[in-house]
Parts: sequence; structure tokens; C-alpha cells
Amino acid sequence: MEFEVVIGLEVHAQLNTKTKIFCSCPTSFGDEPNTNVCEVCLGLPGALPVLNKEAVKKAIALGTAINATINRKSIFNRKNYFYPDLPKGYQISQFEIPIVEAGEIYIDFEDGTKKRIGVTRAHLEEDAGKNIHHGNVSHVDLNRAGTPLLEIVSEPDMRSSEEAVLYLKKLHAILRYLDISDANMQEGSFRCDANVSIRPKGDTKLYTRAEIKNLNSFKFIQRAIDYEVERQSAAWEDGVYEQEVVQETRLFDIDKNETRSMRSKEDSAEYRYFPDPDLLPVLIPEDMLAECIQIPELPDEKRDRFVTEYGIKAYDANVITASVETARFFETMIEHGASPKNSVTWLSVELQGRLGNGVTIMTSPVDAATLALLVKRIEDATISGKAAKEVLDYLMQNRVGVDEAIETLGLRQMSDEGALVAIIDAIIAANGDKVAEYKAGKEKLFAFFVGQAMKESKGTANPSKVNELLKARLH
Amino acid sequence: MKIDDTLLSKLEKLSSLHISEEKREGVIQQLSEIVAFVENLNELNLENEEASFTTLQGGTPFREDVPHTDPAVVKTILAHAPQSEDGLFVVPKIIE
Repeated sequence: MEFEVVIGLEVHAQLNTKTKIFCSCPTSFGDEPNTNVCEVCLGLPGALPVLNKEAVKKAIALGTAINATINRKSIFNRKNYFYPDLPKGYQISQFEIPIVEAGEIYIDFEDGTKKRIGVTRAHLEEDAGKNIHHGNVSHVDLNRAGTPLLEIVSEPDMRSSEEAVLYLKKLHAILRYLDISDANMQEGSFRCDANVSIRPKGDTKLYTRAEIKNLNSFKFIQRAIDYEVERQSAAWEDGVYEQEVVQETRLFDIDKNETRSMRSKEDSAEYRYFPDPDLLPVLIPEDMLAECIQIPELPDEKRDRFVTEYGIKAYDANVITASVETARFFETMIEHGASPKNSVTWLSVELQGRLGNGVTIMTSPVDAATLALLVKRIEDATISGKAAKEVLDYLMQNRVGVDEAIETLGLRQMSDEGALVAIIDAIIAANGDKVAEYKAGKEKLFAFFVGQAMKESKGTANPSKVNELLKARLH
Repeated sequence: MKIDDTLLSKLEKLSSLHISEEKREGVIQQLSEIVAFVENLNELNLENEEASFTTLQGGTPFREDVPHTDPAVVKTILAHAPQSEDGLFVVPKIIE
């Protein structure tokens, strides 16, 4: 039987505010345990939450970016459950009326087509603390408790793990472009849960879904979804779908490359949601809304502008605008006078190809101004494209200027006509027989003369100059 | 709403309470009475009425995003925790 895959995604993005959502404790990553805590986030009796204005503003920015409805009035609820990382015994979240509702995100396929993925809602809530399992006991660090989260819930609109990854990458880029979250998957500031189900192709009803947690890289998300689809399809084919596929939370095991049951999902009524009596409704004043809907250029807008303004290919524009850091790098190169076309190649092929091993575009030893100058040195014929690759290799290892590197490596291109003419004349004189053959019609020999000239000049001759001079001499 | 033994079992689980065998009938009786009492509200015509989440006026106040810590709180809390180690709260092992 042929199945259709149905995927909905929930993303928890930590908002990059300076303080927690309901108290003034700093938000932090990697501080000494239990140092950024107070009466409020420790859940001491009588302590009252006061909402962080920045968290609200960032939520509005996201809502604007995904073309969603911003609810001018939203409600905080208590979601009740018991766990040591949740000192109050409930998480403050939003339920009936979230701050953001009914948005959309467009994903782009390689062939240039697009697909709309609905975003059901995005709501504000507080993060829990961290449990560290330690022998016969568990340790609790509450530094993270109360960190503002935006939970972004998609419609079950994705039909493959590839679509799921495209959606996540686009959402990730939007959060980074808006600068409302660090969205660092390894540090847990961008966490994803995937709801996966299957159904016979053509069927429109939704079948039982499994929720997969612990997905902290795009690669694992794809693998986990693929495994889960395989598991559910096999259960269906074997006639054990009813027994094997139940609504539950499953954990992805990175080492074994499989998902396994964690606990059966409590249905939502069991969280006993009710409006938090400590918090009045969130009312967004007119002026605040007007301020927050002013958002920076988004990935899609930037991509389209790069295509029309700089004349670069849509595919290249997609690659460059996929991350805000790469897009900014590119823009800085243009500001420094490098041509858009060469900037694309030297950024997305040459520089990116030399990064890796923990070195990213942000920590690259060659910054945008330097790479732009290198490109300009090709464009003004100081060096050849081939020599520029050597210069770039050198610059990745040595903190020197572009011109200094060119001189050190002796790669300055020979464009001085006098010197080139001398070389060319010597070659012509030494290869009388070949000159005769060429003149008799063996045109392929032209490449031989160019090669000789390049060799004589140790690769520093300007090839177009060589061509031009040779043509003049051999006719 | 009908309160029966199944629903009572669910409520026991949610509230972490155990209702003994001889009291079950009585509790079901009482819960049914209370629910029936609340159901009087259903007689009201609420069409075009917005759901109210609070009886108070206005919205929740906003706080500026300025960090503040009080190390004394941390010390006091850890000193009063039943068990702690290296600044971490120690709790019984969580089994998943």
C-alpha cells in the first residue's frame, strides 16, 4: 500500500531577552547552577510574576513575520504537571488565546517551487529548569526555569521529512533575521518536537500520531521522522497498526538511530489548564503594536531583492540568504566594492569550502572586507583567479592583509606589456617549427604558446594579456 | 454531565487522591449534585458574550528587561533545601 506521511512540528524557541519572562533574573547559558534564581522562578509562595515587555515585543515581531494574527488580548494559563524541574507545579503558558495565531511560512524547493505551511499558533510560556541524572539521585538546576519561550506550532501540512527540515530551516532563519532568538540547536535555544502519522494515500482523515522528542539537529530530525514513518508503515503492512501505533511520546536514540516509547501522552485535559489568576490578560497597546510590526528584512525579501538588485541567480540567492550571517557577509562585500557575481562565488564556494571544523562564517579568519578586497584584486587584474585561491588559503592561516599576502606569495600578475612581450618573443624565437605549423593552420597550437608563456612567467602572466599579445605576434 | 466510577477513577489519578471503596458511592453522589448545581449556568443565554478570564479591569503590567540578581536568595534557598550538593538541588531519582 502507498502511504502519505503527515507531519506537524512544534518548535520551542528561547527568546533572547536579557531577563526571564516573569522575573528580573538574567537568562543565561552555562552559568554556575542555581545562581540566576529568585523567589518568583523558584516558585516560592506569595511571589508574583511580572511580564517582561521584551518577550511580548519579540512574539509580535514573529507574528508579523509569518503574516499571522496578533491577538491584542491574550491570556496566560497554568499548565499543571509534576516534575522536579518545575518548582511551582505548573508552567505558565498560553492556551485558549495565544498571542499569535493563524500564520504561514513558505518553503522553497530546489526546483524553484514553493509550498505554504500553516502556522496554527505561537504562544509565550516559561521554560523549565534542568534535571541532571546522577547515580541514584537527580540534580536540579533552575537557572533555565522561567526563560521566555515562544512555542510555534505548525499545521500538519508537511508530507515528508525533507519538507519538515525545509520548514525548520526557514523558521530558524526568520528567528535569526528578526534577532529574537539565538536559535542554537546544540545549546537548546531551538528545540523541535515532531508529530508524525501516516495514512493510506488519498485518505483525508488524520490517524494516530507519535510525538518524537529530543531532536537537536536538522540531520537527526530527518532521520527520526524517516525511522518513524518506516515503523508505522511496517506495522500497518503487518496488520499490527492498532497495537503498535499509539498516541505517545517517543524519544529518538541518536546512537541506535531509532525512536522508542517514552511515556504515553497525557491528553490535554489532564494538564488542567486554567487562566492564571496571578496574571491579568496581556493587552497590547496601539503604540507598542505599531513599533513591533516594524521588522527587519526577512530571508525571502532579501533573496528576491538580491536577484533583482544584483542580478544573481535565484539558487545562489537562496544559499546566501539561508542564514542572516552569510547574507550580511555578502552585503558587506558589496559595500566594499566587490562585484555581486564574484562575491557569490568567493563567499559560497571558496570561503564556505574552507570553513568547517568548528569555524563558521562568524568566526572566519577572513572577514567580509578582506574577502571583498581579494575579489577586487582579481577584478583589477592584480592576481589571477587561480592565484587568488592560493592567497585565500594563505589568509586562512595567516593574519595579514591581502596585498601583503600577494607580495609574500609572489603572485602579482604580470600585466606589464614590455615584460610580457619579451617573454613571448623569446618563446616564438625558440619554437620556429611550431610557429610555422600554426601559421599553416594548426590552430590548436595556440594553447601551447599560452602555456609556455604562463610557465615562463611562473603563472603570474595575465592570461588575457598573453592571448592578446600572442594573437598580434602570430599573425 | 454523568459522574460514574470511570470518571471518578480518572479524577483520583489527576488529584493523586485515593477514594476508598465504601466512600465511592457517596462521593459520586456529591460530585453529581455539585455539577448539577453548576449546570444551572447553562440556562443563561451567552450568545455574543465574550468569555471572561478575569473580573478585574485592565491588562497585566509590563516589566522592563533589566537584569537583577540577589545572591542572598540563592544562599538562603540552598541552605533550606532538604538536600543539595555543589549548588544543585538533590531530588529522588526521576524514572522515565
